[in-house]
Amino acid sequence: MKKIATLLLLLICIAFSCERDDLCDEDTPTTPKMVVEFRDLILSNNTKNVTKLRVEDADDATRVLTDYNSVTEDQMLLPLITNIEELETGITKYRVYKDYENEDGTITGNDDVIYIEYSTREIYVSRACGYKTIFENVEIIIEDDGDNWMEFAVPENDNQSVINEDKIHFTIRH
Amino acid sequence: MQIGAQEEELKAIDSVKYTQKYGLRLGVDFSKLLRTTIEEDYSGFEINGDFRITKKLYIAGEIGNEEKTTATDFLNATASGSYLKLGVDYNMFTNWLGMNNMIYSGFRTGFSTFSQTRNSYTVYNENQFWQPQYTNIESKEFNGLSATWLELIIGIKAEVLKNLFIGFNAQLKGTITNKNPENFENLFIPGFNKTYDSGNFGVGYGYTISYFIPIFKKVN
Repeated sequence: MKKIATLLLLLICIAFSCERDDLCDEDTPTTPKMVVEFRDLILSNNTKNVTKLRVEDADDATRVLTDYNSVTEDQMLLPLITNIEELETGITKYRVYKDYENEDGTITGNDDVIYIEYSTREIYVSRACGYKTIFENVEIIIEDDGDNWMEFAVPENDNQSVINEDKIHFTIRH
Repeated sequence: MQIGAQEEELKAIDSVKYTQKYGLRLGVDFSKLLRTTIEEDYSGFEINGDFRITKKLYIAGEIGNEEKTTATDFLNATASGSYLKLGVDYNMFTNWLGMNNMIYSGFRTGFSTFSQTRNSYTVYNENQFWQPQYTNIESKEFNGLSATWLELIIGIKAEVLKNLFIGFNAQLKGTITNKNPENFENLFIPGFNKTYDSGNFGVGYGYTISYFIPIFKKVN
């Protein structure tokens, strides 16, 4: 009887210890952000910091991307909109400031608007995480405003995809 | 121990031979019937049976059908199909004369064929700067799925009325083969139960009610 009780207990323990399976582990790669590196215009192998970088929703200046509110960085990680119907082209728009300053509501700095265009595909991850979106044929278009601090954007590969955050997807020269 | 001694003694005094009943025991898993009526996202039915081959050993098996909808925050899918389990039970319990109760352990090999319908999913995204995330509500059916597994079972069966048994058992399982749909996964396998991200094991249980049909008697 004791043996059976032990076995039963073991079974119950196993059954309950598995409940953590229902939470998606933070370390599991799910929907990736796009990794953009800032590089020098001439020495294109050298990263170049952007001073007082601010990244915000191009259509809503109050929505600033966390961690990118007037910081000096040589990289930015941009989340892309996943809510795209099949066969449609996804467009995510950001307003990216260099030398951003906000003094009592008077905003100074140079802002450029970038359009990121792509197609989406959903890939199964696991029971807990469900599906992730990956982005394919990604392009960056820098809107010409006559006073761009960004010169041009270069993909790392032809038909650039964004599948994980392990490597750089685009470089922006400035 | 004392019971065994008593048995020996009786045998020594009388020359009467004590016979054991052999036959087929058939039943249903009433936990599955209960869950079918209570749980909205489950329906299932199982017939189980065993056939005694020696004093301690029984050939045992289950055949059944299950349908289960699994819903998480990001996924909703329904698995539906049939299964067959075959194996052996070993009775560890020493009965008094004329009693046929069981405390047993055993194993099964299980086989299931089924389909799984992905009803909907919402993309998982740690970053919620852009909302909402993409949701697909177009249901998609994946047919021709199958799995095989090995199962350890422990349980009891008690004779509550003449030839009528009720029992409980617990099962620990591990998949041997598991054919997953493309770009998806089997979240539930009929007969096997829920699958887990962290391994190929599973657990299950059953409450059985069964009837014993005596076929022949044998001395031990």
